[in-house]
Amino acid sequence: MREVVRRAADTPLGGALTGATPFSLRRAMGVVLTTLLGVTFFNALIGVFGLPAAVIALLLFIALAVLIFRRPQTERARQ
Amino acid sequence: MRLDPEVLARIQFAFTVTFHIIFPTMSIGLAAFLVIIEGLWLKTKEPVYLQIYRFWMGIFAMGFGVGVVTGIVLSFEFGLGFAKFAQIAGPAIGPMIGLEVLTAFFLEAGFLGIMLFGLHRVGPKLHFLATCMVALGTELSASWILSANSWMQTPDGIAIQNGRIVVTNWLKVVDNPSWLARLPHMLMAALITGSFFVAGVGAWYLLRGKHETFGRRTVSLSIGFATVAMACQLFVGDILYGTMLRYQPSKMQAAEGFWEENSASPAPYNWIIVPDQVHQRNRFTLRTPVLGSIWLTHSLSGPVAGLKNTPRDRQPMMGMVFYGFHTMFTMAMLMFFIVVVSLWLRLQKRLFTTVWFLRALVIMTPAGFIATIAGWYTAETGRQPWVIWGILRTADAVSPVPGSVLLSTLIAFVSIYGLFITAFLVFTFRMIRRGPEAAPDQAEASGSLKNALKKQVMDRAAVAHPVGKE
Repeated sequence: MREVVRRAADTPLGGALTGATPFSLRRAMGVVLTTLLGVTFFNALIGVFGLPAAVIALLLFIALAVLIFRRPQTERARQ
Repeated sequence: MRLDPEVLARIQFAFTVTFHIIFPTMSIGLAAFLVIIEGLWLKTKEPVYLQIYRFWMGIFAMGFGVGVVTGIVLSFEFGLGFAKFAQIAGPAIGPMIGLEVLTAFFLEAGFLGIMLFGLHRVGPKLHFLATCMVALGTELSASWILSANSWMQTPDGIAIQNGRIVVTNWLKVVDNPSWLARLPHMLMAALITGSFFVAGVGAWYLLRGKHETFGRRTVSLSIGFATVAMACQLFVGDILYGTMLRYQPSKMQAAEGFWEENSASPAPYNWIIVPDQVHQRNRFTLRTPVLGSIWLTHSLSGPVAGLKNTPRDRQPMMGMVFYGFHTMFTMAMLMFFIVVVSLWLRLQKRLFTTVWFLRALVIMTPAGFIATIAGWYTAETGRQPWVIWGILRTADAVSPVPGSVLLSTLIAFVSIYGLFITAFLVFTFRMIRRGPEAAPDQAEASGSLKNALKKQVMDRAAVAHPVGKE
């Protein structure tokens, strides 16, 4: 595992990778939740739950995207 | 060997239009992106926006040029390969293509000069107006072409008199039943294509640790743009699906890979099929149970109509339509996955630092182009055997020219277009490799084509115009 992390750190963004992504239960739950949300939005947008639900999903998704878009990002974890 | 003019005319048109569609798609997407970037530069005066604008303006200009040249060829091909179509449908199609030239092309061409050469020769607001007008022109152009093509898919507002089409209602010709469903689908496709193209280049810089401010800003803006466009695309895509199911049922029956008049209930979703058109069955299918009912009928047990509902002599080739549609749909799912992941990473503040995501963006650079071409293959092969749906068969639309003429021109097109794409790719990759700092303030004559690619020419531009250096 250490070797994998060391090799990753040699890439230009490796420092960021090693510094920012330790495995945790919280992160795993985040992945599952994001996947479920993504699948739900996908199905809603292609009309599986009907046109009104598709319109609501579209507006909700765009609002969510705009809100998250404004979040400042880490530029580099390690210079 | 007997050369079939119908097959050759179709191959020739398919080849040239496939090549052509890459460039307008890119132009529409990049023009919209340039409007946003220049708007941000005017608002914030941050040099990085000017740098992004200058860099992408160069690639946009090259794509625009190739798009114009390859588009002109298509008009001539109506005469070369499909003269009977031009003769019969000319009264409806001709004015629309003429109006495209008048309202869109003139607008684009006029303002393109200011956009490319006037960055420091006219005021910033006038330059921004020029960029907006070019973007508007690309979209107007698309709307006329989509109107003409949609009329071929769902003709309206005409009568047949003495074997010729006579327009009875122009509004219905332009605003035919599928136009308003297909236009936003195509425009969204172009925006997504441009966004993924830009994002891929920005991600490549970040992975290499070069031009990082430029890379971060382009990745952030383009993937944000793609996120909104992707959601809209899924929404309008479903509306288009319903419209096509109503007006061109055989196309959608072929697109889903079912043969029987009604599939099993609940219907599975076919991912891979090996269709046998002669025996009207699939030799092999890879499917997910129930998903067909959920996605296609929006119910848990609805059956899906198959291609046997359409008489054999009116059926399109299932394999072509199915794989065109499924390539487009698979690419759309992948792109939606990418934008959802981008939101999650943005929430975690890791958008620029997650290596696997940046690599995925680089791999997905051509995703929009692939999806767009596949979508057009679905539209065009699904309309067969008609060139004008229900009115004129493709076989009856071909020019009375020998196959050898079509073959020789096909070879000429393949050779010339091969040179075009090679030149475009060489210039584009060199511009990307050189980076945004080498992008000149505005288009400049380099003296000769031979010298245009030389390092000292590009470096001279970088030294002369150091604005926005990191």
